[in-house]
Amino acid sequence: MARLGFGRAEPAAERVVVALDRDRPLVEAARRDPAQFDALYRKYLAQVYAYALYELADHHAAEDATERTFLRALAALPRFRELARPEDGPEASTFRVWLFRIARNVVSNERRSRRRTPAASLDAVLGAGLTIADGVDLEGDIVTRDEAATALRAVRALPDDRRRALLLRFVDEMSTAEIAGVLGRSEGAVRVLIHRGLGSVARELGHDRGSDRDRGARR
Amino acid sequence: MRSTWNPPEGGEAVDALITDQYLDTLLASGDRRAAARDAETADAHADATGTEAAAPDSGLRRAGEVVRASLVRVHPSFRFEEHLAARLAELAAADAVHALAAGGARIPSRSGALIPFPGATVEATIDDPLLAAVLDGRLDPTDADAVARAAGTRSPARPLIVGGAITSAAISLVGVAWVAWRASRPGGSTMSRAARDAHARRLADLAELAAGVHGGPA
Repeated sequence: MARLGFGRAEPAAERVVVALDRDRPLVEAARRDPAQFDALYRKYLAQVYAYALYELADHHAAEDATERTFLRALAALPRFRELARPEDGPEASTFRVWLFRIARNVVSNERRSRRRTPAASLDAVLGAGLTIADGVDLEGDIVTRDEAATALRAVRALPDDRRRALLLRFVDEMSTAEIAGVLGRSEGAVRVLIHRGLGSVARELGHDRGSDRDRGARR
Repeated sequence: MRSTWNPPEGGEAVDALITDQYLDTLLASGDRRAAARDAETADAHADATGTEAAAPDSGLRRAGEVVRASLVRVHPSFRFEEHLAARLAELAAADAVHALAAGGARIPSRSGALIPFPGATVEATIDDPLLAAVLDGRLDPTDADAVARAAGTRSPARPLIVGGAITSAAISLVGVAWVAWRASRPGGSTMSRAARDAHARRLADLAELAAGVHGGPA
């Protein structure tokens, strides 16, 4: 598995900087001319917005968080340091990891400020954009709407780190290495977070591991 | 809910690795049913041979499928996208002006580039009285006659990029002067006052943002 060298467990000696970030041309162009940041913005807008929406469950709050994320990223771009390594492969983007670290901080601040206000009911949260829209293709009815709604509730009820790991894995389709970079955890820890998070969702869906208990007993 | 971290117990680290590999397949598969079929095949093979299946249990697999189908990526509205793009462009232009004031030799921007004329320095360009007149609202940069009069003996008229369009004369900081002139030009209508107020607030926001960002970590 490719590693991006962001996890806390990474020894400093392994953080060799090489030119492999897939976004390097866009980042360099934006550094030469800040107006060229527009290309990076368009590329990652939906990813950042979707992450913020699932985290905050509020359309307007997600827009605010998205706006703050990109404004901060543009202003801080001169301080961005590329950290991809040869083994990360051609798909590695430390810029995306860096951008999502900003997004994570912005969203965390927003969630903290919201805790000071009365919590919205679950129905209100789901009504804020996290229901399953009629137009969404649920894989040709492989997944029922009830299952999808249950899964969303289960994901929202997860502890912060498990929920973030799941969202980054499924919504933004990040690799374990990238998520480790965003969350500041080791890849092994991220794998366990996702595994436990999915386990919680499975229990809520009624797919406990009992059906596989005999298999588990073999292990 | 706060984060809680307990180290993996027993074979959990191995199970997590298997789940991770399954998710790689699930997320990479255009046909999401393919991953499920692969896992079922692995189960069947394990049952037939009495070996350990290299796939998570069916409950986790089902949860993965449901979560994958439920957590769709949502795109913001086009209106929001263009609004934020415009704000980023403003910040980019402000950064360019900031760098110019700090002594940069060539400042690119969204609308063009300010390049000192032969024999002139960037600092001299900034101190140009024509530019000061435009920024003070005393000179309309689009009025060629007024610019020619203000330029006096200056000749020939210097080409200039304002907001991406080449004008006949005057100097611009890549459209910023034009915006500043529009903001400072007196106007009696309610709409004009509202536009000036909004512009002033936006400049204040940008200045505050720039100060905050340049002063602390992202």
